[in-house]
Amino acid sequence: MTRWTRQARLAAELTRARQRLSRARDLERRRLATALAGVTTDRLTALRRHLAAASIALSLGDAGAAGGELARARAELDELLERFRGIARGVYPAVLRDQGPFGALDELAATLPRPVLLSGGSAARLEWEIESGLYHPAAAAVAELAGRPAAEALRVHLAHADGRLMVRIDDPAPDRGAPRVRAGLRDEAQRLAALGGDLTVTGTATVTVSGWVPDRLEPAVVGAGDLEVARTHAAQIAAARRAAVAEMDSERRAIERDLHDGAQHHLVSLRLILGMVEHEVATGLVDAARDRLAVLADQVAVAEVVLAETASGMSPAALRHGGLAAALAGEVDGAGRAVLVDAEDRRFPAEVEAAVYFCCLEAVGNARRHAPDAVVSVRVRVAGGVLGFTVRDDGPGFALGGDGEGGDGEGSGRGMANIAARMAGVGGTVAVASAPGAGTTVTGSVPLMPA
Amino acid sequence: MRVALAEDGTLFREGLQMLLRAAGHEIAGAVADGDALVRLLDTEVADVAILDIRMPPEPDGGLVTAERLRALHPGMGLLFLSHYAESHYLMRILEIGTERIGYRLKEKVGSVDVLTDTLARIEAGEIVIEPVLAKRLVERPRGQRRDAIAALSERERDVLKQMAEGRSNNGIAAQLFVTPKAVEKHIAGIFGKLGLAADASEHHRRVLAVLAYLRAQRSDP
Repeated sequence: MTRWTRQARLAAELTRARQRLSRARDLERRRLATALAGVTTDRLTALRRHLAAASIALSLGDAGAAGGELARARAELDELLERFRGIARGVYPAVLRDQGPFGALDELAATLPRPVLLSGGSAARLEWEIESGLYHPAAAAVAELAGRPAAEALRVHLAHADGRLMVRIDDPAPDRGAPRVRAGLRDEAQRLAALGGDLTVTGTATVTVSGWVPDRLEPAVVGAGDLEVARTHAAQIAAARRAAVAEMDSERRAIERDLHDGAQHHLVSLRLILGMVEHEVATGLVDAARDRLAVLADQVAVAEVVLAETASGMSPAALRHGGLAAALAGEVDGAGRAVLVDAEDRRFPAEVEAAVYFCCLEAVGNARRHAPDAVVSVRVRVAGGVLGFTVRDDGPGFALGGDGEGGDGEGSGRGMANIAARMAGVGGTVAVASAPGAGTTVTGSVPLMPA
Repeated sequence: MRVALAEDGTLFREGLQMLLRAAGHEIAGAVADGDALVRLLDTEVADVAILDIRMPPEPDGGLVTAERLRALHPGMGLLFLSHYAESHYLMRILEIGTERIGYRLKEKVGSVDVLTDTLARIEAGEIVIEPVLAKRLVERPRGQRRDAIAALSERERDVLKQMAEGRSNNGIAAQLFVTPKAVEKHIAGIFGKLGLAADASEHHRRVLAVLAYLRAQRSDP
């Protein structure tokens, strides 16, 4: 093979690998968002219902009934947290770093409804990129096959031999055939292929999933010819693989962190307030319980917004690294519409940045829905210890309803309610001004605490 | 009881203080990271220190801080809180100490009675292990341990679960509504079937033996 065809092949291979990995990443985000929404929506609705019922029972002086509703609310919240935990830990399990893929698969298996028999292992720890590269597809496959209760155990064997880190999963009682299992694991197969490995699904009575990655990132240099060129190619491929895994890894870590410090923290804190209300009801402090129940309802609304935010993939890396100005500019640039951003390039407490960012995007989204042709401007300023934002459009505007909220049209009232809840969560306020022919302006402000 | 607490999430830190006060405890101080907790406990006295596992110093500030606290104040109880109940954290916690120590999920201490029970057991010298984790260890044993566990009677499995939560014999008796004598008998049965040497004098040694058994990576012949 000539030098040129080798190089062309290398370039094509690199492009392919990058495309595959980027697809896998998009998919993962979408999957996560769907999973979060699926786990949370119904349970939060039920939680709100029980809290409302408890509140009514309290105002009727029926502490017994209130206690019952609170206990049911607690059960809903605990179940929600349990499921949420399953999602969050799957994204970036700490045990993978600590103990490698065997320990991580073992920990995962312990949480699945179907028994899993794990055997084999690797005598030594391998490069992080290799371990992580095999673990995530393997974990997805195990979770897929052992995600429903079954009497017969799923057998999982991990091995390191012949230059490969391999996993073999045998399902002796498959509830679907190999083609369907294969279709379900298509993205995992892509991911392994991008790292130079492979995933196959075979069998009928027993369905077997076999996946592997090379135990080193450089492809082996084989054959005669220009050895030096071949070695350079191998090194470039290795660098691309390493970069791709590192990128995915840091994204996973960031997502897990967002979940852990954001939505999960909010939900767990709800549980403390709920515990407090239960205690007050049980000890006859009915007035205190009623007041706290109102606080709890507000906090549920905030948690809901934080969840929605997380699920829609907000609080992006740009916000964490570059702050409000950079994140807003970046978000709005990509949308291809006329939005003018004028934001003070300063950093604020993370929760304030996240709240203002979310509210600005929500307000811009509202403006685009109701005034698609309007020019929208976003302004963020600090004055007198208060961080203020203004989102204005020169669209048709509307007559404000009696409650002072822009309640016309689909989704706008809900959007404003979300904004108000989010601002309240950081001690801020929000207001809408609009009139037919005069456009719409959303203004919000958050007091900044002295550091 | 007097407790100190370190947790980097504001909402949870505030909420837990509220609950601790409602449960009648005194708060020696509440801080946002491990180093601040060590400084606080230089001057303040506490019966139990409550630590978030994942807080600064990153990544697992609660664990490294607890090691320092155990060396500085050996008599102080330690309670770890986390979003996750995982056996690899448990193993690291048991390396820090096997007495006056506890590991619980954050939301589970969100009830006054659970919080009080947890703190009281730690102050009494017990190991307190999140029941979800203890249950998982007993119900999902590794490899051939499965057969040995399957050979236990249902009552023995209940007792084993309670032991894996770190409960004392009296505690187990109260939980299962039986006499301490009956618990003793069940424990002897369990140790016999699992092939563990029972050191009847030391409760927490038996708890450790049970945990080590349940956690063994490979089953020994």
